[in-house]
Amino acid sequence: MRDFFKKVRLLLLLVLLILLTLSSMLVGKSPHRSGNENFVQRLLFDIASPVQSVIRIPIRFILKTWEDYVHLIDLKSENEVLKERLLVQEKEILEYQEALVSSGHLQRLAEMRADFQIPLLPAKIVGQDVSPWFRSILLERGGDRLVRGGMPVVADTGLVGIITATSPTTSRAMLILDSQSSLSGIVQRSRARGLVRGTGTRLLDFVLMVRGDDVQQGDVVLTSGIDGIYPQGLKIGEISRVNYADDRLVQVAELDPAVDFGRMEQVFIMEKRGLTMDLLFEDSNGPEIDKRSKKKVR
Amino acid sequence: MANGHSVTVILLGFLALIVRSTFVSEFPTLLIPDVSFLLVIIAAGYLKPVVGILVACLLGYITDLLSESPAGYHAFLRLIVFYLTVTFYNQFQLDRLFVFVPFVFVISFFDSIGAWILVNLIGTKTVLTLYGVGGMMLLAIVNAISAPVIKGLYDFLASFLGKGNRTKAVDFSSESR
Repeated sequence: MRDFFKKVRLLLLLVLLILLTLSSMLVGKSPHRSGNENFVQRLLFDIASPVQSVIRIPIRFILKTWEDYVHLIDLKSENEVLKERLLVQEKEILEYQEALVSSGHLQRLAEMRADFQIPLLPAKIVGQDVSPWFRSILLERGGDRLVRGGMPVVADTGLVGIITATSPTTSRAMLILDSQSSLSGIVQRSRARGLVRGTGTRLLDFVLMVRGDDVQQGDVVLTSGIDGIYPQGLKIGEISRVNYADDRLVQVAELDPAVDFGRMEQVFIMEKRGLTMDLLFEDSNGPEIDKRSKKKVR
Repeated sequence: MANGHSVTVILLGFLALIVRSTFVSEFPTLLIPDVSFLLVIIAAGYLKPVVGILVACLLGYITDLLSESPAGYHAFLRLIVFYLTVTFYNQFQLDRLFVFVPFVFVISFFDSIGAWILVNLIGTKTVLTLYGVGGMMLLAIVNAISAPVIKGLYDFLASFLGKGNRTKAVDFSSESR
């Protein structure tokens, strides 16, 4: 009996571990988990973050030196200044356009502006997803700074993603590029609604709610706010291609994200999460964050 | 020294994940070798199967905790990879480099295929479908090219840790390795 057990114990262990991994996969397959990460996960995040910060220093230095000295220094600096100016102007134009198109009434404009007054916490990106098959980023801000699961993450140019896990000093955000990501969007010009889905590549899919809705190349797509995840009016990207294939039940347009995910170094965590996220991430600190947000708004 | 090897593989695997995560910010993801995956294969030559399978599972679970993947996803894949490596270790004489490199290519490619099947079974989405067979093959090539370097480095480290349970005979029943 003992010999038999010795012979099969590796197989038994393998079967047991396979069953364990499969069951944990089925239980925790949702990308928006409870938000209450276990001790091990918090510990891993806390160890990873400082190490990544240190590793990034020489990498960034080498890459920066390469960019600055090998490429045209003056042209690049000038280009960067012009890009910054352009970004500021684009943002202003976007705000004016959004105000004019969506309402035309000062009162509603004021309400929209109030919606945007959510405190933003700057956070440095320390790493990307450890798996080649998923799209997320690790941020150098965590629960110590009241970062909680479900908080939207934005960059100066547009929407980035959502916080899905936190430790005291680090948090992980799923990018809108991730294949598991999905949010509600609206075309700024025509008000056509649709679903913005991550594809895992650098482009997004914009699935129109109504087939044949008015969507054109170059149209700006914003968050609609009806999903209760992201606030209304955040820039997601621009339509780069519209497919009019008759053989598909839904009409899908290709969306070029406003954020350059490859060059992103810093993001902002919105310190208030949507109603849907409040329901999904039932942690005890939820109301505290809301109170803090309101206080800052005032 | 089996314990020394177990701890070393786990620590190096964790470090490899952190380094990979940092490099992915700057370079295309498929061009960076999955060192954590390679360590699981290399560990098959040093650890007892029962210990090794636990180490592989733990390393996979650490990957899951740091990644956006469902808990158990990478753990499951690492288990299968370790088991297959141990099974074929002596049959293919994986100690020899010219056998080891093609083996890494094949198992890395099948690991990606397995990952793709798994996500379809559990209903989670990844970018695997978009990368397609070409992407899976590219990652397998990158892993295979870097495998001798990682193996060489680990063999060098192993000279300080002792040989572990590395012997010619693989016998699951007696675990004499």
